[in-house]
Amino acid sequence: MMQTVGPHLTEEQFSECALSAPVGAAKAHLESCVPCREELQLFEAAMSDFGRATAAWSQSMPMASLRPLLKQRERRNTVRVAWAFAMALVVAVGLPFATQHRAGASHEAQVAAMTQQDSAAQIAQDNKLMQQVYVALTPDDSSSVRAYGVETSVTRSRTRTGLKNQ
Amino acid sequence: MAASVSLDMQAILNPSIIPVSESHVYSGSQAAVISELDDIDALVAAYWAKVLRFVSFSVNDADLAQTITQDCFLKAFNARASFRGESSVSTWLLSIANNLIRDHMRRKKIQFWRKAAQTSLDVTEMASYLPSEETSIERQLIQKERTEAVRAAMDGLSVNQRRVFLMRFFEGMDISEISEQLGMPVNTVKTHLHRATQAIRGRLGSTQ
Repeated sequence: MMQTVGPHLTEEQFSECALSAPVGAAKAHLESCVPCREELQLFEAAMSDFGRATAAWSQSMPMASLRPLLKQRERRNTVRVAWAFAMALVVAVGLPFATQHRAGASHEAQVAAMTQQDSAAQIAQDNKLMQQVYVALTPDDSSSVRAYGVETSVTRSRTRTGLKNQ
Repeated sequence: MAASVSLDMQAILNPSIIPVSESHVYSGSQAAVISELDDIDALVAAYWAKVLRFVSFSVNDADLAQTITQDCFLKAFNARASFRGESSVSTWLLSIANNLIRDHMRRKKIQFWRKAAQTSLDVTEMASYLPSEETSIERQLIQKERTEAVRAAMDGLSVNQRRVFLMRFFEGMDISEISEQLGMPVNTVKTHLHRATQAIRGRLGSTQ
């Protein structure tokens, strides 16, 4: 319960009375104190005037026509959806392509790295292997070579291999 | 006596110019409310003035208030399906407006104050809207002076203090409703109201 301090209402009591109907000590005080009652009435009258003035003012303000704006926004949204769809399509098509391309590139890089890692001994071994493959696949036609008196290590080895096989 | 004055004031501060359709909304069925929300022109016609007044005096900027009010109606119309009818359409619109004001304050705090100072509402113009019928010139002058005093006192309040004050005095919302809608503790709402009341009281005292 609020207590009246001094000869008049406290600020807090005045606020309480302005916000809702006075009760208890404040109500009793207002019934007997003319200055406090007049001050409260002045406050209420001012609020009333302000309320009416602002209400009349806001009523006089032109209302916005929102229907065209709404249509404009709807159109904008449609465009946005279209753009989103187009972007999704680009991503759907482009992403697998880009991924594939990147995979190819990484494969090439892997091969290059492997090539760099080959030592001279490995290269020599590979060359030897390739030579053997070549010899195995090439038809046995060394006569012309012999005719010219040229016998390479390859033809010699082939001849020997051929003899062994026979 | 003071008690009766307070009750009268509440009646005056919820002006009779509140659109007719609103009473229909309060007492009407859910279906009636939803059909009202489906027509944006009807929605604007019924609530534009109410929302504009609240926003204008909250942000203290005529141009910004127009933009926020417009956005409020567009947002409400687009989200009409989510309106469950737990509150009145008016309260629902004010909560949307409050969210927009809060968002704007967060987004453009500095620009907000600078702009507010540039296009703030015209006090003299405001007072001229007071109905002048059946009142003497002297009384009109007193009313104008009081209106300007309240307006000047509101200028010194923060946006939150103004919002709380407007919701309590012009929208007739109680403290718990304001607290819920603004997401503020009840004590903060009471403090804001107390400060607003004191500011107006002080300003009125200086005019006497």
